[in-house]
Amino acid sequence: MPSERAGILHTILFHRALGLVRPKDVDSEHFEITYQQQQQKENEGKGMYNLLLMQILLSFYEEKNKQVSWFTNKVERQHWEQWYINLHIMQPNVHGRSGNTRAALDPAAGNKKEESSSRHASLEASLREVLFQIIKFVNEKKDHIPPVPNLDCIVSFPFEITVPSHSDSSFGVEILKRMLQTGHPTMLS
Amino acid sequence: MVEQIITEFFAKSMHIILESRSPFVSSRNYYSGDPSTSSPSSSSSTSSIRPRDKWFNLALGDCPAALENMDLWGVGESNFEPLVIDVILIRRSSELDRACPPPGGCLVRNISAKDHGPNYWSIGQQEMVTERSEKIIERWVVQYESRKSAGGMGREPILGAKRSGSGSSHSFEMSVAQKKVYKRSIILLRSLYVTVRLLPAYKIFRDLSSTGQIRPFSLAHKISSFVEPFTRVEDAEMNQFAFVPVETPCGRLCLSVSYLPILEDLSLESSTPLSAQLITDYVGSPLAEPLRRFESLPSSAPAPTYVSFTRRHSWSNSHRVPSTSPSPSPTHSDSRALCHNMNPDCLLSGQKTVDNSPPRILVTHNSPVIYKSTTSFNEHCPSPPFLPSPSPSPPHFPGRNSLNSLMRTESAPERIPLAPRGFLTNDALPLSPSPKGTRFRSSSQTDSTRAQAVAASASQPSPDCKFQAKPELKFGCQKVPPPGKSDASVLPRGTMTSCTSPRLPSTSSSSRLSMLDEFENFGIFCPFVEDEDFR
Repeated sequence: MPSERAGILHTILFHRALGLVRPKDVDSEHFEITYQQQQQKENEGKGMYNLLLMQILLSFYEEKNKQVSWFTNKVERQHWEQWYINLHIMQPNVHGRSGNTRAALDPAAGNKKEESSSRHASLEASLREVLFQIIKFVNEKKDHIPPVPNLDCIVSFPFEITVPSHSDSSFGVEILKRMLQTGHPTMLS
Repeated sequence: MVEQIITEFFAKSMHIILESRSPFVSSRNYYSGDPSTSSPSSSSSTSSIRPRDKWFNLALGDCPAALENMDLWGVGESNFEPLVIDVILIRRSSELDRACPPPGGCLVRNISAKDHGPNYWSIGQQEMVTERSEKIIERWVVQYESRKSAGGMGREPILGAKRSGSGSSHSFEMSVAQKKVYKRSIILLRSLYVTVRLLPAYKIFRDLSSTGQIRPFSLAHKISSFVEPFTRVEDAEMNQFAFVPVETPCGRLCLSVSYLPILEDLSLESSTPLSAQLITDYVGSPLAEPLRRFESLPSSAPAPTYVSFTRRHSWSNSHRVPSTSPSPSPTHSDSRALCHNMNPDCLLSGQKTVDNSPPRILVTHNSPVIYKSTTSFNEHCPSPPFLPSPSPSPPHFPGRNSLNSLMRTESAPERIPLAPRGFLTNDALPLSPSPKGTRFRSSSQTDSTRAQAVAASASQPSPDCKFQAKPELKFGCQKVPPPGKSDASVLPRGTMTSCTSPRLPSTSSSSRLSMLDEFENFGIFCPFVEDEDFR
């Protein structure tokens, strides 16, 4: 469920976008949960279709001065916060829905539906728990956060998203990063 | 000044809460029937930036109820009394959908008043039996706890940042402390913004704001400066969530909420569509009995419909369910509203203390939260290069009076147009006169639901599950491995390094992490300072 993954990430980013923002409420597609987004919405749907990520690592960093050497000229990034988001995505069990089987499975179909709705409710509650946990975490420690960025620049601290356990899904990660980073945030001039 | 930060924190908190709990007044910010664009931010609001929006870097939508309540609360007047906002669900019984409006005059709850100060409810005047129930579904408490013993990072008195001639170092230290408080407040208000939309009452608010139907329930709010304790039953039903307080030099800002974790699915309640219907057999029509009398009304009494709650006296904003009568004329212009499901037996039972213990709703995770911090960021940060020399001139900071006038000018209550979705007016049915309204059948399945969520996350994969997020959040800080190593490798966890000063190149992709620069542009840190930008 791409929107739920994005919801978790956006909730974290919302707490790290300490510049001037006007939050945008976005409704989850599958649950009655509203999360906040400070990026343009049209970038949200790109690139989430093929991601079955097990763990997402969201890191906030500072860029240190460029160290020019003979072999490398990369800018060193010093991370000051990292979020490990573990996702367990399971494939839905698609049952046959032909007319013949439906009549035979009517009593069971009702139970299945009830069980499915119960599971859906529990998943929604679980997602809420995750968001509340994020709120708890972001408020526990604040001293390590760098000073609020200049309003003339980007709204949020620079961050990156990596998938530690899936090095071959860099393409999806890049799209995910682009999804969250591209476009001007909903900044106020 | 820390004092101003605290004052504005109260105002911003009120705004955030009421913006998402006061459906009628904020319905203008919502697009009907389009939940995807429900945020006021989706509207063209980039052009209107009010000075108040810049406080805590969080621009919010219009909320006249919040603005009015700020004036009543005394924003900008160093009012550090606790701010208690009760969100009340008013539910009308289904019988009234078909019943004629009751006769009589003012239909206001008759509850004895307790004068606890200027910010309190006033009493009703008449009593009428109605089928109506109220229940407090949320209670937000914002308060500032001052420390008597001056210690910690500063000895700044709470009243006023006295800029004595103690030298530049003192003002610099004060500035650093104030900026810390400001930054922490920003994060806390972000969390508040997220939380108000996660709680069950938000769904009710959305239903009332977005649907074009008349609902048999409504939301109201009550603001006071003290915490009326719940009954034992109510307390048992409520869940508590306390945010981590923001430490200030002389105290701390505390924010907490008590809420009902499960509300009845009010979307299943019968609702009256707003389709126009031609009534042919109305009383007095030629089609009806010519000699038939309308027995429920005395001949001399006017046709009452509902009560008008004038805002200048009330401390509530009750968005009542409109009656079926088309006549909107009120009978008492200065009637008072009191939306309170109050049990007189518990009034003297003492003040309820806010529980700052860890929230109960959190789910224990399989992996512990890892956070290792040997130092704090600011302790080991040398003076950033952007730090300007403290200016000997007085701070460019508008006076409080001018600030208030500025805020009040910016926050002038706007006329709320009649919602096109059919809410007739803000006036509504009478309140229940009984101090004990009908209690909702609140489910006591909080623990079972929570356990179910935990079990769902920890159970074996179910074939029907499509998504399951395992909340394993690790809080750590560490360095990036030196160049050459794969970025996709699993990084070691939990190591904390001291951060150096934010000497960052001014590139488009990086941010200038200089809070002092930001505050320099604003004078101290008031976002209003650069008035020339907003005039």
